[in-house]
Amino acid sequence: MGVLIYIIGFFLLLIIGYVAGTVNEKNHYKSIINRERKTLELPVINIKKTEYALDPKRKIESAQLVSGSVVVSLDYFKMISASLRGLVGGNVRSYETLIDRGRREAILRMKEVAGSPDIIMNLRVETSSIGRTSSGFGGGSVEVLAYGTAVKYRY
Amino acid sequence: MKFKPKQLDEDINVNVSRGSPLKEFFKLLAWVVGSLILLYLLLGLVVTWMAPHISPKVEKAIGRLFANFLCTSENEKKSAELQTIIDEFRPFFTPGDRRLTYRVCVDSGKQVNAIAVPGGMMVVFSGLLDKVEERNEIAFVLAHELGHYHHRHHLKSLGRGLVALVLSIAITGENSSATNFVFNSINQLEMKFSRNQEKAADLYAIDLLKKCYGNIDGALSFMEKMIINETRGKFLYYFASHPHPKYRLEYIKETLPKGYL
Repeated sequence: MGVLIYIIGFFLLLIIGYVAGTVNEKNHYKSIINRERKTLELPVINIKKTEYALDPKRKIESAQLVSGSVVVSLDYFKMISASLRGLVGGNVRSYETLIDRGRREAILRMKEVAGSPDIIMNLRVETSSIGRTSSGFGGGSVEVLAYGTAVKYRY
Repeated sequence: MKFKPKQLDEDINVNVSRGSPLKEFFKLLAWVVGSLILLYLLLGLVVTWMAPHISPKVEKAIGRLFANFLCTSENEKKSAELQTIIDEFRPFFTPGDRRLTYRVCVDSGKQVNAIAVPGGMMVVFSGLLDKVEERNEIAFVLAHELGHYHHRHHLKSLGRGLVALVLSIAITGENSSATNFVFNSINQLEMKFSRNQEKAADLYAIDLLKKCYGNIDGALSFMEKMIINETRGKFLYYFASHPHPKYRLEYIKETLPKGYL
């Protein structure tokens, strides 16, 4: 009886994870695409040398560090799927969407906190996993940090 | 150089592999489950081939592992009584049967069951002895367990469980819930043998009773008692680990010469 409950519980979690995770992911991507469209005019580059990144003819009014971060989690369905993939090898699609959403969200948040600079240069993106279990396949949360230098020209 | 923002192509995301996550999940599940089943069956075949070749020394060593937590409250007087039945059977053992030294241990537990443990220890629970009063009926129970030893069923069944445990540890780790689940399942030392194995043990028991006592009255009365009591639920536990007693009585009767009954 205990075994049956265990199996039913497992499949229920899978279904809940799949449905909730898919809805969540779709909504998040919608929001990301919307906000990316709105902030398209603000250039974000990873060049760090000012002679390449900035317009030498213009004077700089301000330059400050800006950052944005997000923690994104896998749903149960994706976690099991990733564990199975870990056995046979290949692309781990579950983690691909997680990292992709995480990076884009972190960059968007960095842009939002920056206000209205003319350019954000020297962009760096760092990723770290949170709450991994000893087996290496559990946990499933990722923290993405995006930071750079927001530069505003005087004129 | 004027900055020209790149128009986003919302339909193509190069950072995410194409395909449906649901299809991918089922494909992976089919691969993994299929491989595990194949591996388990193959290893089961290997173990079935190996079981007859396991030496008595190794078998006794395996038995010692289980002896630590089986028959913890022995009724020594009853054990000695039942041991005399094994002594009566001994002259009729095949050379293969003689590889082990059989010892009966009567446990005070109330389970209605008897277990053939690797190494030759037969654990008979007091619960079963309470239901089975006649000596020749107890003789049939012991002869049935000897039948499992004769055919190495206890090793084959244990071997398959060990294969599952080894696979579980290799894939999910020693402390995972999957491993605990597998260990608890194989730890049910009621040794749920297959129907064919139970039939083989019954036929061995009948043959042994015939050789030793010249009759199989013990087997017949035991089966008839089980059939009667099964409807009342008293033998339900013992019944659950063996084929239906009516079915067992049928094939026992098939082995008897005409006019025996």
